[in-house]
Amino acid sequence: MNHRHPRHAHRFSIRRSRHFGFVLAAVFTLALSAVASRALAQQPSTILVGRYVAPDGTLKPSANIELRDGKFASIKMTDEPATGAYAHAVVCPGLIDLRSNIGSYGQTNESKNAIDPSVNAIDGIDWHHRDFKTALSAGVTAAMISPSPHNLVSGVAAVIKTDPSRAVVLRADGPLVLSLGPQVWRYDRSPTSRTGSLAMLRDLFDTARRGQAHPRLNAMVKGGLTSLVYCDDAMDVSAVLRLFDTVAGPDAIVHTGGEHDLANELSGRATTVVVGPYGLDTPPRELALAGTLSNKEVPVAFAGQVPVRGRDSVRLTAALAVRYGMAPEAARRGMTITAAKVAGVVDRIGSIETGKDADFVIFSDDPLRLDAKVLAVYIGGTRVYADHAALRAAGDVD
Amino acid sequence: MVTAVSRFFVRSSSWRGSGSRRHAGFQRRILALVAASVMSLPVSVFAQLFDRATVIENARIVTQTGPVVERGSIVIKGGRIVELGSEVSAPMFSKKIDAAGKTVSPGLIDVWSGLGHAGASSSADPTSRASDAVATYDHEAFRDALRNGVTTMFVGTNGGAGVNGIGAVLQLSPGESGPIAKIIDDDAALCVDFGSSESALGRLKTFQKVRKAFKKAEVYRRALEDYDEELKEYIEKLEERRKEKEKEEAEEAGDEKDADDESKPKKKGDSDDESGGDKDKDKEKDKDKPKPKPDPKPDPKPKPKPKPDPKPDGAGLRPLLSGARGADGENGKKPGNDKGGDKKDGDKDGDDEDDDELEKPEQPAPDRKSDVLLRAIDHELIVRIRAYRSASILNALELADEFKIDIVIEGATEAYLVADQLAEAKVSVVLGRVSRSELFQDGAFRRHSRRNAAALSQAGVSWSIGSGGSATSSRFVGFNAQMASGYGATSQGAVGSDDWLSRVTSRASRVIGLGGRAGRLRSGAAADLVIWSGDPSDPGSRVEQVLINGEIAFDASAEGDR
Repeated sequence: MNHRHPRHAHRFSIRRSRHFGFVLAAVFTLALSAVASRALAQQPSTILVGRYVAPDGTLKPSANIELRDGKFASIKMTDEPATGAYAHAVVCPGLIDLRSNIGSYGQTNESKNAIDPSVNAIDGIDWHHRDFKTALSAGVTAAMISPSPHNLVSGVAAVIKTDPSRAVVLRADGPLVLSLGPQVWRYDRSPTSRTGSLAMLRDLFDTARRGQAHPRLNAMVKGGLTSLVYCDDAMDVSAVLRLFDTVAGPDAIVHTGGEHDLANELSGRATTVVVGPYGLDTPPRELALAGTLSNKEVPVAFAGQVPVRGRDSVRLTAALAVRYGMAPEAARRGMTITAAKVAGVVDRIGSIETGKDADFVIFSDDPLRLDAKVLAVYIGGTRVYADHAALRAAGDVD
Repeated sequence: MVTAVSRFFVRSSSWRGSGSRRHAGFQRRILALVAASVMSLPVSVFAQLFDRATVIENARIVTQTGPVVERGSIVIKGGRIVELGSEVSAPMFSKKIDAAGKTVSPGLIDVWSGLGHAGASSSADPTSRASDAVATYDHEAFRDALRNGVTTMFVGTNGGAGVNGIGAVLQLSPGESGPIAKIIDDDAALCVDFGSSESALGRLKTFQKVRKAFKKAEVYRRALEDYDEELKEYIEKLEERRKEKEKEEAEEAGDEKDADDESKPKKKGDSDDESGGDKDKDKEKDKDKPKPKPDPKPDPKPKPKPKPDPKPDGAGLRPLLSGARGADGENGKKPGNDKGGDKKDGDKDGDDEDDDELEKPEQPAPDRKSDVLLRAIDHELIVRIRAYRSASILNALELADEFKIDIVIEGATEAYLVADQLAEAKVSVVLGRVSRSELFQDGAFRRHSRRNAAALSQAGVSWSIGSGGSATSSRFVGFNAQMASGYGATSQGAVGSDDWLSRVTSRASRVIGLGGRAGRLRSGAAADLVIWSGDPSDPGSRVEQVLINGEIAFDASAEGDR
C-alpha cells in the first residue's frame, strides 16, 4: 500500500544526471524499484473501511475491500469494525468531473468553423500542469475534457485519469460534442442565430444519415459514437430533442439554466442531464433543476469545471443539488457512476465493483458533507495523494 | 379590586332606602365601576390567553452553549426562550411543535453579508450607514436565506478603499408583507477597507489615508478640548469684567444717588450690549467662514450620533433670526444657555459700543467624519477592517495599536501567514468565501489557501465566517463554514464535528456584537432557531421550519415543493 512510486526515483536520477556514476546508480534504482512495485502490485492488499459508497449511491457499512493488480478484487461486508484513520472514513469511487479544464484551460477554444468534428480535446492537455495535483487533492480522479462548446460541432472530448505521472487516457475519441445557444452564434460566420443553428444542424444530420458527412458524424447518427449536447437555454433542450427525433442520441445534455418543464420532455429517454457547476451564487431555480429531474427518474450527473470553479466544485455542486431537493444517493451517483456512463467509461471506473480500476478516494465522512475532507486518493490501486497531517491526526501511522 | 367592589357594595347597601335621587347616582356609579373592571381585568387575562407559549418537543437540541441535548424541549414565550432542556414540561395551553427525530439549532448568522444590499455603495465616507441602503422589502432574496436557516446578518458599507461607513445588523422577520428584514443595530461597526489592490504601494497609500483620518480625528479632539478650555477662561474673564464694571458703577451710583433708579437697568443693558456686540462680530466672521456657535459647555466628547441641524421648523429658526445664536446646536451638542442668563433679554441689536480687547476663542469647524472616528477611539464602535494580504493585516494590527481601537479583520485571505501575530494581538478574523477558482488570481486572492482557517485554529485565533459580502450567497453561509471547517478540523483531530456550526452561530454572534443575544439556545435568548429534518451537518437534512422571535418565519411544508 505504501510503496514508493518509481517516479520518485526517476526524479532523483535527473537531478544528478551530470555525474555518470550517479546515472548508473539511478538506472539501477529505477529498475529495482520497478521490479519491487510490480511485486507489490501483484500482492493483494486490503483496506478496511467504516463505510463505502455502493454503486447505487447508498452508504454501506463496514467492508473489506481487496485490491489486486490495480483493480478491485473483492468487496466483502464485514462485522469487524474498522479502526484507525479509516474508522469513520467513507471510501468513494474517484469523483469524475464532466466539464473539466484540468491542464487544458484556454487550450480548446477553437471557434473558426461552426462544424469542426475532427478536433480532438486530448491535443490540448498539458500533462505537467499543476491542475492535476489540485484535482487529486479534491478527490477528482477522472475528468472529461471537452473542446470548448463554441461551435455547432466542436469535436470529440477526451476522458482521462488525473494521475499525471501515468497519463492514463481512458478515451480519446468521444463523446462528440455539439452545442446550441448564443455561445455558438458569431457575426463573422454562420450560424448567427438560433434558427440558423438548427437549420445547419438539420442539413448536417441529413448528410450524415446518407453517410456523406464526417465519419464521426456518420457514426454518431447511427449510434456508433456517443454525443453530448451543450444547451444554454431550456428552449435549446427542446430543439435538441426534436433534432434527434430520428437519429440516435443524444446521450447527454449539458444544461444548467433552469428547470422549466424539462423533466416531462426528458422522461422515458435514455438521455442523461449534466448540470453544474453550481456555486454559492447560483439562483435557486437552477439549483432545483438537478432534484426535479432526478426525482422524475432522469439520470443526472455533475460538471464541476475544476479548477476554474475551485477544486471542490464537483462536491459543492452535488451538495447544493441535495439542499435543493435531490436525493443524496442520486447525487453520489451523479459524481461517480452516472458521470462514468456519460463519459462512456463505466466499464472501467465509476463504482467500487469487482474488476473495475481501483480508483477511489478515502473521505473522512460522507463526500456530500462539505466538511468531510479527502484523506487519501488512489488511482489504479496506487496512492497518489495523501493528506498526511489529517492521517496523522486521525491516528494513522502513515 | 375585589375588596374595593365589596366595600362599595357594603357602603351602597347602607344607603339603600334613602332617596331615589341618591339611588340613581349609585346606579350610575356601579355601572361605571363594572365597565371599569371589565376594561381593566381582561387586559391581563387576554394577555395570558393569547400570548401562549410555544413548545418544541422531543427535539435534539444543538444549543451552542453546552453539550447537545439529545431529547428535550424548548419553551418559547414573548419571543424568547424561557426554558430549555430534557426535563422541561410544556405549560398549559401552549402551542406544540413535535420535533421527534429532528434537530434544533440556533438561527445561522452571516457575519459578512451583502444581502438586500446589492449594488448599494456609498463613497468612502465614515458618516454613511449601511442601514440606509438595505432593501428590507426584497422578499425573494431574504426568503431564500430563510429557507437555508439564516436568520441574522451583518451588512457593511462598500465605499471602496478608506474609512467607509457604519455597518448594520439585520434580523429577518416573519410575515408575508411588510419589511422582511429588520435593522436591529444600525450602529454595529465602523467599516474600513484597506483595498485589494495588487500593488503594494496602492495598499500602503490606502493605509496611510486611513491612518491620517484617525490622526486628524485626534487633532480635532485636541482642538475641541483646547477650545473648551479657552472658552471657559474667556467666560471667566467676561464675568470678571462684568463684576468690575458693576463695582465701578456701584461706586458711581454712590456718587450720583439721584440717577440710581434709571442707571441700574441701563447699566445692565450695557453689559448685554457687550455680548450682543460680540455676537455681531461673530456673525460677521460667520459670513466668510461658517462657525459653530460658541459652546460654553465643556463637552469634549461629541455625542454618539451627530444629528443633522436640529431646526427644521420656524420655531427653531426664530432664535437664530433674532440673533440668539445660543440655540444653534452644532455637533449635536445641546444649545448652550448657561451664559444666557445675562444675555437672554439683552438688546441684541444694540450699538456696538464694545471697548473690549478680549478675543473670543474660535470654535474648531465641526468635523462629523472625525466624530465617527472618535467614537471608535472611545471604544463605542468596533472597527471592522477589510484586509486581505498579509501586509495589510499587519497594517491593521498597527492601526489598532496606534489608536487603541478594537478591531476585527475581515477578508484575511492571507491570515495564515500572520496567524501568530493575530493570536498575539487577540484580534478576531471574519473569513469570506472558501471555494475559489484555482486559476492564477492577483490582488486579494493571490495566495488564498483552503487551509487558512485551519492555520487560524491552530494558532488560537478566533475566527468566524461569512459569505464574503455577497448579495446572493448569504443563504449558503453554512456551506461555506462547512468547507472552511473541513480543512480546519485537521489540526483539531475532530473530523466530523459540528465545528462549522459554531462559526456561524455562537462565535458569529460575538463578532458582530450580539453577544449572547443570538447564536445560542438558552433561556433568555431570542427564539431565533431552525428546525432541521436531521443533523444540520448531514447533507440530506433540510430546513423544515425557521422561528424568528418565536414566530414561524419559514415552513417548508407550507411552501410546497419549492
